[in-house]
Amino acid sequence: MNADDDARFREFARARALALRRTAYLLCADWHLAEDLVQTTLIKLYRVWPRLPAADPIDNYTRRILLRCWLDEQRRPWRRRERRDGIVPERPDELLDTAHAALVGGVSDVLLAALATLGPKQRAVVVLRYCADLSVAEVAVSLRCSEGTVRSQAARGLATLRVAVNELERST
Amino acid sequence: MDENEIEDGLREICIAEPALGFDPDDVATRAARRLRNRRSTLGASVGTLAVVGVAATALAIVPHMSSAAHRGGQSSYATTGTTPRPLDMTAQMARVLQHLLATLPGLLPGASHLTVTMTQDTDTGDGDGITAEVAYRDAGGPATFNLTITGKLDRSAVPPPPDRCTATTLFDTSSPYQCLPQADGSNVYVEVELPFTRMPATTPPVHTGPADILGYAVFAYRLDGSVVSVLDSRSVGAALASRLGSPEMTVRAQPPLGQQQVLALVTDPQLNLAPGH
Repeated sequence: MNADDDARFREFARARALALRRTAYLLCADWHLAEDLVQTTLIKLYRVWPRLPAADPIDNYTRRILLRCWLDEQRRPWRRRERRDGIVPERPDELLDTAHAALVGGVSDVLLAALATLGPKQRAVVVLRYCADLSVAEVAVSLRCSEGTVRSQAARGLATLRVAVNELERST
Repeated sequence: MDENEIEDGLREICIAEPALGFDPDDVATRAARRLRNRRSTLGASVGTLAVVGVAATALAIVPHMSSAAHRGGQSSYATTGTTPRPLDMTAQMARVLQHLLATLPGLLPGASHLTVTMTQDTDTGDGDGITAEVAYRDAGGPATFNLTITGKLDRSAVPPPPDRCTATTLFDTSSPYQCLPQADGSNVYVEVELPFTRMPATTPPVHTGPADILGYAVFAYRLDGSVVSVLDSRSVGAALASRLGSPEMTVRAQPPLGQQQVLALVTDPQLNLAPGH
C-alpha cells in the first residue's frame, strides 16, 4: 500500500471507529467484544483497501466485513453454548461513564435487552435496518442476501422484539 | 409497546458509550505490519495452487475455490454424538460442482455460456456453507441464480424456518411467504420478491400479480439440519451481463428459473453437504 492509501485508510479508521463499534455493540452487547470485532474488521479492510472499487461504498464493504466477523464469532464453540436468555451480559459496564449512563436507559435499556433475544442474523438485520437506518437494499448488500429475506427477517425481528419488550416491561 | 413504537425506539436508541479503547492509528500500523509479514512469507514459500478444471461440450465450468478452500477447507461437522468430524469443504465443492455439471444441461435446455463458480461462504474457512453462482444465456438474455447449501455451522446465515408450514401450493400469487410441507417431513419455504416501494418492512405486502415479481428466494429446510436455497432473480448485474454479452445491467422479463426448476434444485438429494464424500 502506498503512502496516500495508508493515509486515507487511517483517516477512514479514525472517522468511523466509533460508529463501527456502536454497530458492533448493538450486535454483540459486549463492549470488549465490539472493540475486538472492529479491530479485526479494520485489519481485514486494510488488506484490500487499495483494491476497493470506487463504485462500492466503503461503509457498505466495511459493514460486510464486520458482520462476517460477528457471524464467524458466533460459530465458535464456546459462543454456541451461550444461551439467548434476554439478559445483556455486559451491562452495567465498568467502562461506562456513570454520569452519562444515568442519562440514558428506559426504553433504550429495554430494547437493548430485547435485541439480545434475537438470533444473530435477525439481530443484524434489525440493527442495520432500524438502528443504523439503512434501506432494505443496503442491508441486503451488507448481508449478501435477498431484499425479500431482509424484509421478512426485519418483520419477524420486530414481532419477536414486541413480545420480548412486553415481557420485560411486565417483569419490571 | 407496539411495533411502530419499537421501530421508533430502535431508530433513537441511546447507548452510554465508553471512550474508544484502542487507537485506530495503532490498528493501521499493526495491519500494515501483518500485510508486510504475509507478503514476505508468501514470497518465500513454494506452493502449488490446484485448480480443478472440468470441461464439457458447450459448457464452461469455472470453479473458484475461496482462499479458505485453498487452505484445506476443513470444517468441523458433528456426525455422531459430540465427536466433531472434519468436513472437507474443497471436496464438497468439487462434488457439488460435478453434480451441477451433470444435471444443469438437462435442467436448462437452450442455455449457453454456462459457468458455475463455487465459493465457500466464509472468510475464515470454518463454516460449512457453499454457494454455486450459475450464469448463462438463454432466449431471455443473460441469466443468473445462486444455489447455496448451508450446513449446521452456518445455519444462522439463513432465515429460520417459519413457525407454521401449512401451504398447499407454492408460488401462490396471493401470498409473498409460503411454506409447503414435503412428503419426507422437510419443508420448502418460498419468498416472493416484490419491489421495495410496494413493500414496507413491517406491513404484509399487497401482491397484485406476476408482473410485480422480481424473483423468488426458495429455501428447503432438510431433515438433516441443512438448508438448500436458490435465489432466482430477474436482475443480472452489469459485470455479469457484460461477460454474457450484454452491455449493461439487465432485468429479464421473467426470473430465469421456472417454479419446477427451482423445486427440482432445492429438493435434489445430491445437493447436500455429505460427510464422508
